[in-house]
Amino acid sequence: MKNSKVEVYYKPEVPDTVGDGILEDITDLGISGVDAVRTATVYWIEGTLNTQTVDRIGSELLADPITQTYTCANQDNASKDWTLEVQFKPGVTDAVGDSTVKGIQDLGITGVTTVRTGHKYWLTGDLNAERIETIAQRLLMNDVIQTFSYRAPVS
Amino acid sequence: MMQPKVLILRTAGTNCDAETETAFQLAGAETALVHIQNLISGKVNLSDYHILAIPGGFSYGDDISAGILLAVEMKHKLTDELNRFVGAGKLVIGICNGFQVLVRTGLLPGTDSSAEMTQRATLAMNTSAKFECRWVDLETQESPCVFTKGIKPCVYLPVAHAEGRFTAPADVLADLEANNQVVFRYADSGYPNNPNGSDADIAGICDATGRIFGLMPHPERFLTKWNHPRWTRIAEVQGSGSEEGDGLAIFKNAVNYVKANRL
Amino acid sequence: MSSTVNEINILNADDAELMRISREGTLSLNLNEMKTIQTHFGALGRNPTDVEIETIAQTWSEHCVHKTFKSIIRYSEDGKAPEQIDGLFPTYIQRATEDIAKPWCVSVFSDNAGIIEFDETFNLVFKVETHNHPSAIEPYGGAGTGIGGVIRDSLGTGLGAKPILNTDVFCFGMSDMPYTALPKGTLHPKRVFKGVVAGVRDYGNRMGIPTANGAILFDSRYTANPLVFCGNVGLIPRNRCEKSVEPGDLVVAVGGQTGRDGIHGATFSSAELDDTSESLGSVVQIGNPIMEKKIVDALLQARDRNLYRSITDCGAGGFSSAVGEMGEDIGAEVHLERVSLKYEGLAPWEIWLSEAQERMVIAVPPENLSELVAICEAEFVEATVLGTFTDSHRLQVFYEGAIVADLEMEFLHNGLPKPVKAAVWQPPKHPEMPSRDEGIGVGNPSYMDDLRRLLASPNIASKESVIRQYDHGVQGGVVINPLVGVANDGPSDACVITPVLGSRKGVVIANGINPKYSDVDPYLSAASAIDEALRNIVAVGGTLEKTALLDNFCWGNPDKPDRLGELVRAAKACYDFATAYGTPFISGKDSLYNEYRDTTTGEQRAIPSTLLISAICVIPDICNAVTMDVKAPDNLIYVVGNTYAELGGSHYFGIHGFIGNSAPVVRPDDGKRTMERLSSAINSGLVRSCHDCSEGGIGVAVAEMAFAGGYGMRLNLDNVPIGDETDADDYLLFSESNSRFIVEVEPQHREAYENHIAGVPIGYLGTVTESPEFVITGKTGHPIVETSIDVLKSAWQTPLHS
Repeated sequence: MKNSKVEVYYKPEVPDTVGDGILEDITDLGISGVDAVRTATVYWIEGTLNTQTVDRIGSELLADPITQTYTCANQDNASKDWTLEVQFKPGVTDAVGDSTVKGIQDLGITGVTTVRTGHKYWLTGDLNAERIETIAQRLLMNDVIQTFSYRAPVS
Repeated sequence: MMQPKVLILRTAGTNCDAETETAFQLAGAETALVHIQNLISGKVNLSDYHILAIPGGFSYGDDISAGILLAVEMKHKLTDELNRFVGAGKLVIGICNGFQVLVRTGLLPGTDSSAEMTQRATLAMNTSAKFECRWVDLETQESPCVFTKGIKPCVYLPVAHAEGRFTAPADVLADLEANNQVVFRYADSGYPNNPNGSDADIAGICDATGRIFGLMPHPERFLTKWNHPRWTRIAEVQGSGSEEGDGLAIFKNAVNYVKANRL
Repeated sequence: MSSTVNEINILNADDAELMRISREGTLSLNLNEMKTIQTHFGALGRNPTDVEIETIAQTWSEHCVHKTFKSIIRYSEDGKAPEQIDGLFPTYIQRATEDIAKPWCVSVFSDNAGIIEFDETFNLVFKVETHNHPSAIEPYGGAGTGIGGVIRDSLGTGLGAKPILNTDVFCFGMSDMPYTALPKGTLHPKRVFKGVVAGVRDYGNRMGIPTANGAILFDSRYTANPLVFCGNVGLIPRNRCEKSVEPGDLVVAVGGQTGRDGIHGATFSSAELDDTSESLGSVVQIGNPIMEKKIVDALLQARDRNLYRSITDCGAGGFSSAVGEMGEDIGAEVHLERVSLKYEGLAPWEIWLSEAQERMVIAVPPENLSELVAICEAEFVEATVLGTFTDSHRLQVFYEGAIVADLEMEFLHNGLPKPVKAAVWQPPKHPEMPSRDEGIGVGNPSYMDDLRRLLASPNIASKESVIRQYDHGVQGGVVINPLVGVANDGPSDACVITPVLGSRKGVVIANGINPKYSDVDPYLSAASAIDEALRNIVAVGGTLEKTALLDNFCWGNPDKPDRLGELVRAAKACYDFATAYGTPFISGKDSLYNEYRDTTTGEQRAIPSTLLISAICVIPDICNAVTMDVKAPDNLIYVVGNTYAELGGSHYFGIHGFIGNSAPVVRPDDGKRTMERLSSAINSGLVRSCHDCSEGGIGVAVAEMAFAGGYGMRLNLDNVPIGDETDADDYLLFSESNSRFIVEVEPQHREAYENHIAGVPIGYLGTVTESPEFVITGKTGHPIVETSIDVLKSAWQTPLHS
């Protein structure tokens, strides 16, 4: 498997305080109708790794075993929520990505030289593309260093 | 009389090392600040020391989650050294980031069965979702912890962290209570005195032997009475003949334990 | 972009072409400067390369040489005949320090930060600078790299100081501004606020440096141009305060890799922002505090082993400025292909100018190189030899063997033509607000609501929600916290730390800033900022005798005579009041061009002229420090210093929509006597609490002291000492006259205290009460404030908690 994408997020019973904060900020923006925001950290791991190895990285390094869970999502799964992904533009320093490479090496796993990180958001409620773009641009990313993409819910 | 030797572990992002060193020196120990690289390379032997202190800070930026990268490094690069050190009955203390590291290595709360280190609890994002820098009242619990032997029933110490909410599955929490492994609780369960929303108001725990101790509050920041945030107004603080802060007793206990047990 | 070098054709360019080259290259050079470069290269018979012209532009930028502060100014005041000023900096700032001539000033204005004496072993360094433009565009990264940059200034002073304290002052637009009113291309003030606080928090906390002092101000004119002042105090061994460079020393870069980040930051700061500025993506700098921590860890070890002779940080202008400055007196040659890059594809000029963060340059004698490299490797920090310092008196830059820049140091550093600028000052006239006393009295509303509104106004209200996000206890030396009182939540006037654990010798850090007075007169604003910073020092137990100042000017476009006139006024005040108080400037910085231009409407907005004065004081024994919270019932409350009808630019006028015309004056003879006697009373143990009387006047000061201490007060205004004919209750309560304090004295010390402070006007206001009632009786005999401290505290705490 070439280049893996791992999404790390809180277990359903654990409060996602970051998501809750964003929800407040959305209300402050004057946008009503958003019911919930859940967040994930996304890791794009560059290198040829088998599924087992990616699983080890997810469980022993990236996801906290008590409060978090992870999925190895190479293809975008359909979601019933709006999904929004923010990542750094090429060339922008990604310190967390660099640290992740170190962690992977310490686990004894070879062949990974680059990890890029980003954030994923699931938004539920009364939304449309325009609102999603406003939320992204006003709150969740900065055009100068990041890019974003989003997908409408699949019913 | 031999002088207990303390290894204060450093790595990129460690930042409470100097005051932790001062605390152990005031307590009568000989100290060394050692970069983890020098333990891994074998330049420094952990077994030459009696106490391992993992100080506060942001090891490797706390990237991914607080303390995980240092924990992974210790678990995979120092496995034997750590097992031998702990097995020899020596002492380990982790403060703030150091506590996060001990929990993520599995050294805390620890198991009584195997040498396999598994993470059984965690220190999650504060419920306030913010970094919190404040002083808190702590209740000292009945525990086997050698670091808190005989100290005051109520201790006042500062916390400064964003990821300090101690949480664990119900069975692990029940074990902790059954084994008296809870060393400190936040004295008032509401925010802000429980600054992070910890389960059962847990601020610090030890392993079953009492020789491995981790806590979120910073005893090394209360070494003199002038560190107390209200030293200008509290008669007891102002008037007491002693210039010693509450935090120092924890370090003295460790040093005295090493002396008493001739480790 | 290609990795080649281009020749810039200026030899045959006419004026319009020269300006096109300057503008399109973001060089921010004016015509006179472009022509000077043209003449210089004309004599050499060749065109400059892009590397050369970029190097000159960086070195000559406002950011790097502060040309406005060195320019000749023809200044005309209120229509009078013009006066010629040969440089604001030498005339008003540097001269003040020279005239004051304190023996404990070790190094002023020459290094990356000022240095003063601390104890037998250590000195202190202190520097404050701004990171305004980057924070406007990317608040989190801009503010983080702002604090990162000023920390490197401490590390780059002498042979390197250990950073021990951060101070941060922010000016933002109003948080409740409607999104529809937001100027095009700007971020909402709320977003800027959150981002800036998070940036400073994450950088400072990760570095393990306590952030224990600061301020946050709000004014709608800061919306497009927020101000982010970042300061750092460092501790340095006395025998490591001097630097030198010898020919043959190696030019060694230490720290992070170089990328395309932050290119043109120095010249960018010499430009106004407009609604297209955010497209200047490359100016954004990305910070990595752990990298910087590693550099500090490595370099302080190398410093203690004497492995290098000189050090400076890579700030504005990157390597071009750092190497150019270090080699100014001798010469240097650098090989750009040796630079460690984040990624391929950078043109030589980009490598040379990049403002990638977390990089230092040191001058290493060759025999020390291997030991230095070993230390850096042990801390996982890259150290790269880029070249050699020479005796050529030239700055020579090579790329893959070919010379890409060959500049005379003399031209680079002294070739900049001294500009002549015009400045005018015309005092404004604002509508005056009369006292509202007539409407107050029996059966009428009191000043209760005014006091509550003042406490809840964003500039005065509690900043606890921000302060608690900063680690102020790390390093274990903080003894007076930013939040004090019975519940650890009252507003401290200043912070006190013991930088050497085990010693009781302390450092006090405070600040003063009054941009609202600039609407009346920037001279008074600057004078008041100095007075306020000194009051804050004195209020916790410091003394004028051991206090040094830093100046940070944030202004609009100084090419406009009215903006420059305001700058002249403020600079004059700096001289007048620094010398009057005997408190020297040891370092300073300016950020000009803080204006916003809407390219569609052509509308132009400048920030209020803003001078931040930061103060540092060494105290012999922290045991004598006091805090502002009242300590016990039945203690006596005094006001110290005269009150005048000085409400111009005050918060009281502000909440009623007025500016007024009589901003607080500083009377330095009175002020100095007041502060010296009060310092003496505090250090003799006669004062239980002391609070600086500033925003919101006596009313706000006594309220803050009461609720911070958890006790009520029963006061009346009868004995408030006045310096003029003022007798209106609201003026007495809310005037912001300078050099005043509120103090709490135990009854048994009444006589000793009054004797101690003899010669200073004081007024006994009343007592501290066990009950939480808070009552102030006016001159008319009616209670003008009657409430409880809980109501006042809640008014003060609510706004920024929500």
